Amino acid sequence: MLPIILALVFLLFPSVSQARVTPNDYYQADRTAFNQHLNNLSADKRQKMVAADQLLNQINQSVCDRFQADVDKMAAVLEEAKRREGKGGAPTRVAYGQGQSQLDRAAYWLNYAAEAIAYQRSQDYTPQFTSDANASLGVSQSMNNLQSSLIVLRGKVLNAKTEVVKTVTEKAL
Amino acid sequence: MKKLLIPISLTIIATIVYLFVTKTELTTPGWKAKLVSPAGLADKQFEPSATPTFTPTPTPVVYNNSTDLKKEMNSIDPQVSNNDFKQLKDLINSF
Repeated sequence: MLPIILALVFLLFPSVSQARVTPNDYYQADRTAFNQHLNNLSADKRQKMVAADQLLNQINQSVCDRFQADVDKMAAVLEEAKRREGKGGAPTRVAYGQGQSQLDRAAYWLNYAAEAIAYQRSQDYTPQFTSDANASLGVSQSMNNLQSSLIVLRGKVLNAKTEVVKTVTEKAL
Repeated sequence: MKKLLIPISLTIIATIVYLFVTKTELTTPGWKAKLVSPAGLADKQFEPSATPTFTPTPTPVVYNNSTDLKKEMNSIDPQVSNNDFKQLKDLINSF
């Protein structure tokens, strides 16, 4: 009897590894920690920390808006290039490796850039801090992370531009 | 055999309860996430700051045969300037 009861002990504790933790959980945990640690700051620094948090998001959105406008313009150029080639109504294959023409390659990298912009928009740069002592360090780190991510995103938009320029110059459109 | 009847029954019942609780969704949704995440967080809904778009939307500008596409492409210059971060850097310096 006793060995059987001992064998059943594991059933009393649900397996932690089976729990589902989503990116939203990490986001919410970061925001909760941020709001809790705000109470550890002096009044002046609390106000600045809230402003910094909002600025980080605003900068991310405004730069993404600029890149999105560039991508939209490139998409319009590509559509016009397609029309001039006589392929105005035909759908462009954007799956990598499917299309054989420069037009298809440009459409693929343009779509890649558009998806990268959408992904960047959803990123969170909540400053990590615990007290007055490390408040500015937390904001600096978030700013550096944001700047790095935006520079990488710029590279992707430039890559799409290169491909569209190749399309336009290839046929001397 | 009679001595084993109760332990075997308990084992079967415990296994069924365990499988029911951990393998199905019939219990309160998200209860498992609550075990490892701070209390209450699993109930909150994620609200993205922007709606993702996965296909480029052409601009309202209409290009025609007379449009110089190379010139249009040359006018595109994506940049991440220091001006974007100036206000934030000033704020960090004031901490």
